[in-house]
Amino acid sequence: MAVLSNRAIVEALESGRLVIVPRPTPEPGAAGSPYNTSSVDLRLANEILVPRDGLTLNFDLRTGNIAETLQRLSDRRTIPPDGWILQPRSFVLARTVERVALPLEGRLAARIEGRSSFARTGLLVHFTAPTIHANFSGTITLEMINLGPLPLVLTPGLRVCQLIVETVEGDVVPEPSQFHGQGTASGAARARGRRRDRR
Amino acid sequence: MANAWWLRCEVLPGPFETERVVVLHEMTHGSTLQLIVDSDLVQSDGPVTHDKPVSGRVRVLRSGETPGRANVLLPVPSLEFGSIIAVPPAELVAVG
Repeated sequence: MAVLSNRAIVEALESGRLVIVPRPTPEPGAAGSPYNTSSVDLRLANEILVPRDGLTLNFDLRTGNIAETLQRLSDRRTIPPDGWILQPRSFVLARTVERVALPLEGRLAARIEGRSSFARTGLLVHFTAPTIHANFSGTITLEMINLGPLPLVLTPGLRVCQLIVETVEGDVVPEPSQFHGQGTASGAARARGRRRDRR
Repeated sequence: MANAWWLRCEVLPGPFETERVVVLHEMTHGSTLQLIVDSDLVQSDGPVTHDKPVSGRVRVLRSGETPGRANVLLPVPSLEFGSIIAVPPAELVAVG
């Protein structure tokens, strides 16, 4: 496995091996570019899920109904333009503005990581499950916790995390060639690339 | 034969606006699976509300066959059975 450089990320976007919508701009090397040498920054969307206070239920992880349970135990909130205050020891689910798709045939996987400067404030952007597998398509969910001593202001559009893209070596089952040229999830994402993100 | 298929399911709103909860009944070992899937990979036969699941379809890739079953690659892994599940072929509709 090798980590893609910023130029290699752009080439993967050009070839369709990697899809990011809206596409990060400006390109590597330009002032204000979201591309680091070996990653690309993604932005915080304005939608968060806030766990309800005072819950006294035991959540049995064997049931598999996590989706439905999360739905009932969280409130969806919109981050106002001037920001949402994440209090110390508070947890929210957030997501990226960008949709990411990794076509099977592209033989790429990715990881989402926090940013080092934010880490110094005590902000965890995700704390488990950083891997984005081939065949994924969607926005990236961020599990955010403030472990620092100060309240932190989260604002929409903040470059909150970075996407690290890696090559996948060796054979994959099912074989990507089985799906080549079909209407895969990634294909759907490519089609979406022609429209703006819905927010 | 195209390998992108719609798998019949029930649909509920997802945690985020861009997501849906997909419910697959009795697909594998008689179990019900729930997945959180990007909304662009889901079709529904009516408005998606919290009141009641609505019938719909989730996009999958068909990856093989076993006697009387079709193996499909889910858009996200399920907690219980991973990425590939065996489903009755009658539950699949070819993507047009």
